[in-house]
Amino acid sequence: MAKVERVGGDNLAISDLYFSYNDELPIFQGLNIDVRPGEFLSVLGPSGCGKTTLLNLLSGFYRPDVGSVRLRGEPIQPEDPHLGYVFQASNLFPWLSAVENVEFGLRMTTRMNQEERREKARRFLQLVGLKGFEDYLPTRLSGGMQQRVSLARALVLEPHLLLMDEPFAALDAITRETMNDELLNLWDELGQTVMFITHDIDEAIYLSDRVLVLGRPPGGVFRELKNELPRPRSGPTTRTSELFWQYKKELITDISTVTSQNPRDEAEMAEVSLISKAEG
Amino acid sequence: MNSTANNATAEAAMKKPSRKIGLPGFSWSWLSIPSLLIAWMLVATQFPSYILPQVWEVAEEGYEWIANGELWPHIQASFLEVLGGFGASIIVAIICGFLAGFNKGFREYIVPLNGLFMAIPPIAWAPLMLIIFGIGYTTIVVVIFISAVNPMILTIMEGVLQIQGSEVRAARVLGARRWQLFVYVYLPASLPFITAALRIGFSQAWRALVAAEMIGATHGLGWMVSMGGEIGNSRQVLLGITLIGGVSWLFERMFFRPIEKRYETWRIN
Ligand SMILES: Nc1ncnc2c1ncn2[C@@H]1O[C@H](COP(=O)(O)OP(=O)(O)O)[C@@H](O)[C@H]1O
Ligand SMILES: [Mg+2]
Repeated sequence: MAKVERVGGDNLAISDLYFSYNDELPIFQGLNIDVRPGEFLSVLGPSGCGKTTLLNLLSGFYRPDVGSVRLRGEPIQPEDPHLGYVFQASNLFPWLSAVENVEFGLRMTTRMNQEERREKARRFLQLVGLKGFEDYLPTRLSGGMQQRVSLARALVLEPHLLLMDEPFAALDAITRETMNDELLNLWDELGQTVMFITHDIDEAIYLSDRVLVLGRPPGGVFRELKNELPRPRSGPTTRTSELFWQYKKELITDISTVTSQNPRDEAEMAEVSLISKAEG
Repeated sequence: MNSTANNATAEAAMKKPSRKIGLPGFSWSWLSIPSLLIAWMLVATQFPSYILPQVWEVAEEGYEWIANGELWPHIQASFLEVLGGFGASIIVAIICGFLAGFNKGFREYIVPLNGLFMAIPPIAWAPLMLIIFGIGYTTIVVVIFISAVNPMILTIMEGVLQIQGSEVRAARVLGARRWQLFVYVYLPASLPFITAALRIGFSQAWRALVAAEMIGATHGLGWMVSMGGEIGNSRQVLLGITLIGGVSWLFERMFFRPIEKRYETWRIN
């Protein structure tokens, strides 16, 4: 196992956030989420509920209409060196090899020379289990390996906040479980704050300190589940434990409630409440 | 964590090797041109030579054109016209395509125009250009430009939009700023779709050239075909058609295929 230093995490605060795409149905109305430094937060929700939109707001690609997103008390920009982002599709640069992809961020943001960069990139590729694949172009790697490169590419900059948008959704169940364990090991070692988006209930529980369920837009946080599963976690023990099943049952119920909500009704109700607020 | 390297190796082993070594095998594509020629020869036996000449008679016609030095000026004329019209459309399409990709307002403005122009076949512009510019180089260059530039703008714009959603976003969270984005992302990432645009543009340009020459020229491969038709020389018509296909095929083989091959390895599966 390659040696890396603990980077620690930053506090993330989302307060009173309002957002809508060009005057359409609002996606968030007064969203509040606080994430502790070093916390592993899973955000669960059906597709279309605004998970990717939330990460776009957190990373500064989108600006909130009202409210704020603050990392360690300061507004966030995509270029922020403390921010790491793993995309749903790996978004690797297809013209660069695995190690060059990992090196990319170092090349943009540091004054390290070519050799130091290479060396560090190799170390992080090794960390995600890709020793020997340094010179492969992304097309020659499987989906799971591409996501590993993508993870190494984000981690090599030692971010204090790691945003992950359904990074393993496209992987088969077995590869996904392996990746879950690897992610937990890395997080354990590096200690950054993680916001992990998923629509997979098992994954959300297995990884996190806390699970948020998002409702249909503009639902916001439908429920918060404090995850007391002991760490370190391991596949067979954790996934078969009583508590795991209990959480799973609760979340399945929540998700089916959320999914059966009719977004139209909600929107109308939101409008009604806005109007009555304005009048009152 | 020890197991991870093994997992990765297993995953890699499951992927098929991307390149095979060995002798190139038989390909059915070797039969396509010969079978066409055989069909031509068979059909030609049923017609008198002045209606449908044989393959060798057309070859003979070609030899005569070469021998008396008349062929080369026509190819040269067509080539220069394509160079002018296609060259101008490359420059304009790269500028407008990138602008449309970057600027939402410009995109909203230009997309309907592209659509409108693409709905009009190039040949429809020829009479108007003839009235404005008269018979000659300018008319044909303008018709080529109008036909080639629109699909090229759209292709480049879509490419820019696509990389903005993926590679550029990734680069920005990795800390890349303005000029770095340009040098390390926009430049390399745009090569595949610029190549695709060139290819589309060239095929449009070539069609427009031939169509325009048939109406408003005194030279060129398109003129050879239409003049042959007017004087009832079917050998000349077929020679013109063969050259039109052949030149375009050569361009495809010499330029676009090799460039595209280079980017094939990039494509994410
Ligand atoms: N660029 C956009 N413009 C307009 N609407 C969008 C855009 N992106 C997403 N949406 C809409 O916002 C909602 C939330 O989308 P998204 O955040 O992608 O959901 P999720 O990631 O949870 O599947 C969806 O209804 C989607 O149609
Ligand atoms: Mg999404």
